[in-house]
Amino acid sequence: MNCEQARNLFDAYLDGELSSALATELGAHRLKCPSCRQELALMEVAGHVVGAGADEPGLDDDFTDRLLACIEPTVTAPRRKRYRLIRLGGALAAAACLTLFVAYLTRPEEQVAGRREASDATPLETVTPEPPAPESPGTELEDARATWQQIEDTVRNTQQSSDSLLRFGQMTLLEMFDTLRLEALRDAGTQGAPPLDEAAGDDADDIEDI
Amino acid sequence: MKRRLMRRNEKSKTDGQNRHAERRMIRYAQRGDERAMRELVDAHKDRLFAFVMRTVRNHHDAEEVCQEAFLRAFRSLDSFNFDYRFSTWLFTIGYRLCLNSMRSKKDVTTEFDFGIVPTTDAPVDAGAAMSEEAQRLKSLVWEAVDRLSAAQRATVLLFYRYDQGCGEIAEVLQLPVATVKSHLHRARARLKEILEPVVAEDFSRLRILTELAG
Repeated sequence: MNCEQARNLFDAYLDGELSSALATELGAHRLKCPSCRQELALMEVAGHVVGAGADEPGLDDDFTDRLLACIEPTVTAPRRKRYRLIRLGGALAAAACLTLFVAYLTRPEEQVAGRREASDATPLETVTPEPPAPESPGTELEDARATWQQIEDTVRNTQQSSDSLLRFGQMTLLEMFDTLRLEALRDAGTQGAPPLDEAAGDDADDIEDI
Repeated sequence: MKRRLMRRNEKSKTDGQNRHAERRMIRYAQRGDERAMRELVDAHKDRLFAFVMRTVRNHHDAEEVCQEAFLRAFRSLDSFNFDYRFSTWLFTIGYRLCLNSMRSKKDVTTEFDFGIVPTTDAPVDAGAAMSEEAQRLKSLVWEAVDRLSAAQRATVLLFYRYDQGCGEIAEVLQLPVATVKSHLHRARARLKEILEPVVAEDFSRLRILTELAG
C-alpha cells in the first residue's frame, strides 16, 4: 500500500467503517510511513479533543426555572383549557340526550293517540289507557273505574317526574352555557367587560328567571 | 478510535431503556406535566447548550437559542414523531435557530474566549493533569474547529462530541447522508490544513527525541 492508497482510507478508518483486513493493511503502512502516521495521529488527537469537550461554558443554574415559567402560559394552559372544553362538550351532549329523552316521554297525548289510530297492530304503544266501557254493569263498573283512577294517578305522577327531569335538563344546559361564557370572559380579560362577580350575578339571575 | 467504538457499544446497550423512559416522559409532557418537562430540559440542556455555544460562539445568543429551542419543541410536542430521539429533534431545532441567529448578527464578533466563562464539571481522569503541550494542542484544535464553516463545525461536533453517526447527523442538519460525509471529510482536511503547519515543529521535535531515545 502506498501513501495515496492509505490516505484514501483515512476517512473510513476514522469513521470506524474500515474492514479489519484493510485496517491491518493501513496499520502496516502507518508503521513504516512517518508522514501518514503524523497525519492520522493529528486527526485522532483532534477527534479526542473535540470528543472530550472540556472547558465549555455552562448554562445559568436557574435556566430550567426561567424556561418553565415561559412554558406555563404558552403550552400548559391551552391544553388544560382544551380538556376543560372537551369535558364541558361531553356534559352538554349528555344533557342534550337527557332532554330529548324526557321530551320523548312527555310528548303530547294527541301524537300518541294519532299514532295508535294509524296502527292498531301494536297495543304496547298505548301510553294513555282508554276509559272503560260505560255499559259495564254494577260492581265490575266500579272496580274498573277505581283501576282507571289508579292508572290516571300513575300517569300524572310520571308526567310530574318527567317535567322535573326536563327542567333539570334545561337547567344543566343553561349552567353549561354560563360556565363557558364566564370562562371566555375570564380568558379574554377584555377591557370594559363587566367584572367577573357582576357577570356571575347576572348569570345567576338569568338562571333564576328561567 | 477504539474508545469511540466502545462508547458507541455502551450507548446502544442502554439505548433501549433510555428511549423507553424518554418516550414515557414525552407522553407526560404532552399532557402538560411540568415535572416531565423539567426532566426533559434537565436531561438535554447542557448538551444542547454546548453544541449551540460552539456554533454561535456567544454566551447570550446561545442561551437565547437554547430557550427558544425548548419552547418550540414543547409547543409542537403533540406532533413529535416517536421514531426519532428527542435529542435529535431538539438539536435540529437548535441548529436551525443557530443559523438564523448567525444570519441576523453577522456583524457581531465571532471571537470568543471560552476560558473566561464558568465551565461545567468536565469528567477528568484521576491524576491526569494536562501537560503544557497537551493544553496547547487542545487550544490549537479548538481554534481550528472554530475556523470551520458552520455546517462543518456542527458535523464535527455531533460526530466526535455526541457520538452521532452520519445518519443521525443528517437528520439533525436536515441534509443527505452523503453531504454529511462530505462535510466530515472536508472538515478533517481543513483541520489538517490549519493544524499541520503549527504542530509540525512539535512533531519533528518529538521525532528527534524518539530517535535519540531509540
